[in-house]
Amino acid sequence: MGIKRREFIKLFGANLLTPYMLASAPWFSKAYAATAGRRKNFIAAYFPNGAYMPTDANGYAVDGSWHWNNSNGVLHEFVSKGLKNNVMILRKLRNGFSNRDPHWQNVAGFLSGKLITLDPANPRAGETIDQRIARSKNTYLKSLVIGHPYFYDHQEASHKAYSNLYTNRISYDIEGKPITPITDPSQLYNRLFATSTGGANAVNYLRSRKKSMLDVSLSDLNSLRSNLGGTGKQQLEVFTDSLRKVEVQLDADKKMCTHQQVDISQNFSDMQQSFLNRNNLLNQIVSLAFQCGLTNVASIMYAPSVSAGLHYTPLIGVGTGHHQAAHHGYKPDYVKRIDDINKIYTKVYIDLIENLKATSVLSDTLVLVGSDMADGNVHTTRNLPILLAGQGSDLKFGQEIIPSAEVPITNLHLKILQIMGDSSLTSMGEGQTLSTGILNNIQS
Amino acid sequence: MRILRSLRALAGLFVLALLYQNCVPAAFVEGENFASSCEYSQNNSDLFRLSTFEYEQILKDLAPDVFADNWASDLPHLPSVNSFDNRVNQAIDATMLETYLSKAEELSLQIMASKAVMNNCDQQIVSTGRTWANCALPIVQAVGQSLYRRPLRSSEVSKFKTAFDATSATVTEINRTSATEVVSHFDGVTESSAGVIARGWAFDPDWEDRNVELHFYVKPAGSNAAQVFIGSRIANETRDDVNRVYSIKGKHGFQFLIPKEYVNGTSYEIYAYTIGAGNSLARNSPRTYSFAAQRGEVNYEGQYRTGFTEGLSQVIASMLISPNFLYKAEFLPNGFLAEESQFKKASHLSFLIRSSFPDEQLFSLAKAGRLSDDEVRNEAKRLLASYSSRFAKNFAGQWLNFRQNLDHSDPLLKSMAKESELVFNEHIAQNLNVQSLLQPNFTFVNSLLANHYGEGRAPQNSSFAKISTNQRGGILDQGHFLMTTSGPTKTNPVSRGIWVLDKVLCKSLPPLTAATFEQIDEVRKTIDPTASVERQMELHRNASTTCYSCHSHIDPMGLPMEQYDHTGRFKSEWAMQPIQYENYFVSNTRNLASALDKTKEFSMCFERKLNAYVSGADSVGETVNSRCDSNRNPNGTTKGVQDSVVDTIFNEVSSNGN
Repeated sequence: MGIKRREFIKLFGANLLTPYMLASAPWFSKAYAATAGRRKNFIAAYFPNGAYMPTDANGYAVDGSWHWNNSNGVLHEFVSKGLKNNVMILRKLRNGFSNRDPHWQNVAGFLSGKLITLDPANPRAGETIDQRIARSKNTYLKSLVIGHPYFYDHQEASHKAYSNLYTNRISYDIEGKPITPITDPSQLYNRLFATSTGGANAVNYLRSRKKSMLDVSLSDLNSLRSNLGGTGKQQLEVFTDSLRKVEVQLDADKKMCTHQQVDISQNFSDMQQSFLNRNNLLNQIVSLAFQCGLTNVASIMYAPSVSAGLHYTPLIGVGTGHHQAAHHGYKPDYVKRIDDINKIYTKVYIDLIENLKATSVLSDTLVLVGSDMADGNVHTTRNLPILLAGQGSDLKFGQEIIPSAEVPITNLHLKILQIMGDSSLTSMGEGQTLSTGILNNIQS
Repeated sequence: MRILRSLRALAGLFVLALLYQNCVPAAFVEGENFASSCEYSQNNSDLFRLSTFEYEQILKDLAPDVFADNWASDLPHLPSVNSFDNRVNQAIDATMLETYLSKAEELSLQIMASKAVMNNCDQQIVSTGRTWANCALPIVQAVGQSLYRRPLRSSEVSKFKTAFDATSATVTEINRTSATEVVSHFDGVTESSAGVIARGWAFDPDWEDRNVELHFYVKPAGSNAAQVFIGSRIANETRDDVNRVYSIKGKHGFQFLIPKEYVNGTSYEIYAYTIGAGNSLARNSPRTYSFAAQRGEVNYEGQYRTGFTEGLSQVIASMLISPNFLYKAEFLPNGFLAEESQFKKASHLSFLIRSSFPDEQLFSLAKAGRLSDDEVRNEAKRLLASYSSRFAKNFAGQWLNFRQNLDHSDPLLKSMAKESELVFNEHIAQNLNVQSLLQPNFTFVNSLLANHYGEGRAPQNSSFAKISTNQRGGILDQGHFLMTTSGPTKTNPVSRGIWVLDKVLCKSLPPLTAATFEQIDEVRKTIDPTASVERQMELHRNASTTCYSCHSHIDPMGLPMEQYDHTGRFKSEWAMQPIQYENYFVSNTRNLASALDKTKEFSMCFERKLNAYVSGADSVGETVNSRCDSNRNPNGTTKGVQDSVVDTIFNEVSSNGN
């Protein structure tokens, strides 16, 4: 290529792709071609610890602060920013399994409604909807699984058998295995877009160098496998698969897509200070990935379950960490704190919507925003805080959808699958989270 | 990263405390999957990951002149299982592998900056050639032995040679043809405790995400003598100032240690050349030093990086993403080839004690085939004596949660973590009995801790000294535990109680459910928040039989520690009504420690924790009201800590199919 990538980006700056450029990238136009009547992209966005939604005498969480009616509502900024018609609030959805703590069971089951299999040798839950949707796509990357660098590590003994793994994951593949999220924005960016700045020869050289390393590793792996004869089979199979996936990514030509300039050199080492900037950058990268047709699916864990060590002090002043605030005990200062925290998250969702708009993919995208519990104070899972976001008249944005009775969240999942073009499932989840139908009133 | 780690330490404790701080009503539900904790003992046929701590120790041992003691890799976090991360079987998925790969490329160059690793090959004159045979092979074999924890097999050596040759040949073809030269600067030559060091930076504006190689030459100042090649270095050290000025990313600084033979009082000119098109002399080069007068520019050798550097770093990086490095096959009976069984035994032993590959003596014994059972026991003792601090960090540091704070930015917390490490260390060194860990009658303090604790016999500097005291040093009295289980302004007796139940008694509380939380909320409303802590706890405990079922276990473990404030300082005015634990009444840490001694609970728990670390046994084994640990020794151990560790590790290593 005659023009170096950096110059190319500078040249076109913040402009979107021109028809000429689209035409020069045939795979791009193919991937980007809209499919009539069906949303192409899906994002599942998770936030921890629920919202201030106090429970009534029956243990049912009322709406509390999870509304947009006035400035007290943690969602009010959607209205003040003129984005109400890009969002709908869903009520009366429930999650939950008896005798399992939401902080790990319901995080793992948030997108699948499935119980965790408590087997340390093979941690797994059910396949999540983001991965199911991704399986039907034929994109450069199947999906983007994104997390936060804060790994919540529960030290106490009652949370054994990899509960720490579950509290830090929301995506599970077809075999129910957890998928490690990318937590570093520059790693995410590099996976999607980056190539070396050294020109074609250098790019080829670096690629072949990496491939050679992967080949050595694979050869070592094969000898180890034959020594072990079946022991450690699962780990080695996953390793083999990982070697293959990384190699496939090396082969893909990432240079073809030109996009808005992204500053990935920011310092995120202070996770309190950088909470908003980091998540906003991730939102931007996801939007660009959709714009470029590099993937159609992303799951974003904006922070892990519990998040006891996240206190957001630079944004809302000194106060307790997220988890402690969520256990508000109806103390006014704690209630204010958890509201303030949720308002920060609202800013993150708004940023996501604005990025999707700026890249012209919002009308092709369905965004699910939610938490695994309603009110963190008592870990209730009835009347979860859930939003759907997007653009277009096919879905009832700007409304609150209030089913006549409580429904399992998997009813919503089935509906999402249908909107995304997958009507093959008639039921999903299990136990209290087994689906009982489809939430039809989401669609116009 | 340190901030993250310390947050983890604190956060875990606060959470459960918060959950239980009122009471646990409802006949506490033994979650269907937690009815018997024993079922989670690990399967001994699992293939375990190299932990991040072990990864870091291995690189430290391989290149001690490059990786400092507090070096942290920022590698992916592995969850701990049964409190320890050294027996985790989590698979390496694509995201993790991608991270390991990019880290490997970066670390391979750092490893090659080590004089210990390079064996003078960084100083061989380029014109005579650094070949596979004369330089790369011995380095690959030595590095390979450390990373794979056994001599490389001949098939592996051939594989690495093929890769090295291919890359060395290719690299000359990809040399830059761009007219843009490397931007560089030779800052100068300075003296430090490590020696005389040439410093500067260099980057390729067309290829800034790669690191430029430099070669250094000297000649006597002002003479017409030929320049003599004295070594090479990759510019891969952080220089934020350069990145800022040039708006670039990556690490582009260099520091080159000048060989001692050229630091002799004579005035030399030192030339730094960047390798690439045009053979540029670094700007501001040469510099002159005598040592100390200087002046100084960097020039080009005609290649971007030498084929040697590219080839060798690639081979080392491929070892760093090999399953032979990232998994600990030696923990399995058939993990190594039959003819490598001595190395397997050596490595298994070494990992358990020094969290790294075998040291020179242990390797030699394995190589000579002399690791008999007796010799394994002898070596276990020797390694424990030589590397007790490493063992204390990885075993006791995870068991008692202080490992992650040993490099904390808060000097007080860091000192407290060090105190915990040193007390445990002393028990190994002196072979003090296990019970002594609760009441050692000594501790270690530096001046900061001595002032904080009010112990007058303090060393006047930051070094630690052993002092006699009957109020400090025991597991229940250590500042690190007392402070990390407290809030920022006040103590949390529930958090402390739960910590003691887990760490000292190996008991867990059942998980809480949404239903129990709702009941907790009801009870909370009935408690007078202005009452004393002791009184509030009593009201919680007695609110119902179900509340009592947990708090009768938590409170006797947490309330006696109220004699220490939230920073671990002794509160002289503290007094409480004795509270019952088993057949004893306890009111302070002294009589609680004595009671734990008599019930043998602690010594049984110590054995369990040690077994969890060494062989993956369940570290908890029972909830507060169910006992299922048929394997435990009902009398606890009466051994010395050193004997206990040596016996446990010896049994594990000698029974592992060797």
